[in-house]
Amino acid sequence: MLPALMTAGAAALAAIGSALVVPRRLRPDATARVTALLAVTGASAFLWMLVLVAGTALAELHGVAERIMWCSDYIATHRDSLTPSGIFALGGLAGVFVSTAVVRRRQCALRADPHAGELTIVVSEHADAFALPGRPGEIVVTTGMLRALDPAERRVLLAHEHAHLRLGHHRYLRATELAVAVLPALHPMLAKVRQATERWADEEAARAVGDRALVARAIARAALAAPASAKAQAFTGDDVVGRVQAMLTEPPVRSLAVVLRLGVVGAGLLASTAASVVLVHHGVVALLGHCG
Amino acid sequence: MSDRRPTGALEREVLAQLWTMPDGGTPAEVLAAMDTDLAYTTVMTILTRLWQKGMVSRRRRGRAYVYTTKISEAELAADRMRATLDAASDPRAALSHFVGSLSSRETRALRALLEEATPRARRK
Repeated sequence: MLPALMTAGAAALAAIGSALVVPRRLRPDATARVTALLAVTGASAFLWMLVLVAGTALAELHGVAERIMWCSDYIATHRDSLTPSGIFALGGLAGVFVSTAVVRRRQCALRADPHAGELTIVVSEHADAFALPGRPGEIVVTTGMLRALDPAERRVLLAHEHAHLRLGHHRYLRATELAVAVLPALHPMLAKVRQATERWADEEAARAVGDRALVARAIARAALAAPASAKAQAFTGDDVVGRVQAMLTEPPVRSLAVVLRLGVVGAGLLASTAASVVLVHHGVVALLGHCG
Repeated sequence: MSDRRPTGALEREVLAQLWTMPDGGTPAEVLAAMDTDLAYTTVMTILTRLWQKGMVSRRRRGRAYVYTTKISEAELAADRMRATLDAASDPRAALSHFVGSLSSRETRALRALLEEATPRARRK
């Protein structure tokens, strides 16, 4: 039991730790992919730990243990009630089930209307724009936002939102949201993935219009037109100022420092995955291995 | 490079442009307002296609058509969008918005950056 907990803890920590050293200057597409992958690995290690602890606790129960013939040799202790850690793990699994169901429900609600055109204009003074995923997906822009931008800046906005849809950025966000629903400690990684997908779409827009300063201007003007709200900005995770600054500097390049830090991230990812595999193996052995 | 923009992107740009013109416009007026290197015939073709798809309306004025947006459909879209967003507990957090909202410090920083990013000739 203790090794399982320690392995799961190590796996989750390796995932979180590696996320911290993902280099800032890394290309945003790589950042989004690596961070989402780390979140999913960390969450699955945690999930395996819960399944393992809960499964063992259930298998040891009087009445259950006798029925599971193939592992009664190994699970020698027969108990009348669940161990505290078993209760904790079952509670954790129930929590995970509820929170992922809530997240999935919300994710399914925020989908494009399949009958809508690719660009939906909403009459509203509130300057806003976003992309609803789906096939082919839908770009939603308010009239307030359209009026705030000049034609070239509007081209940037449309290219940015189109890049979200074309490259399926919602998949990285959704996977990370589910990972956070499993293991709330991963929450900072969601902000990181969100920020990386925004930067990614900015770089795509810059490629489409061929002018980085124009992209910087479009982002800044749109942000200044959007109404200020003290509440939301803490967790939107999109660092508008950082995005504008990134567009005013040269595009990200591969440097030795970036490659070295990526090596550390890769090692963390490998450790996290290995720990997950060990956990699964441990679980399978516990239930089947000694049954000859 | 603009000539090779995919049709979908051009349709979106023209539709967005038309939305900023309350009285609508002829293909020539839309082209002039778009500040682009597109050809007149391209804009005309795109407007015709948008009209065929039922996304804009048009009426004759002299020898040209004046294209206008469909406000009623945008209002329907607004209702649909409100319902969609209500389904999410926090659409700001759940969706990728083009920009989030700013703190006052960020607003000051952005204004400074905007100055830097705007070439003097283009500044309005």
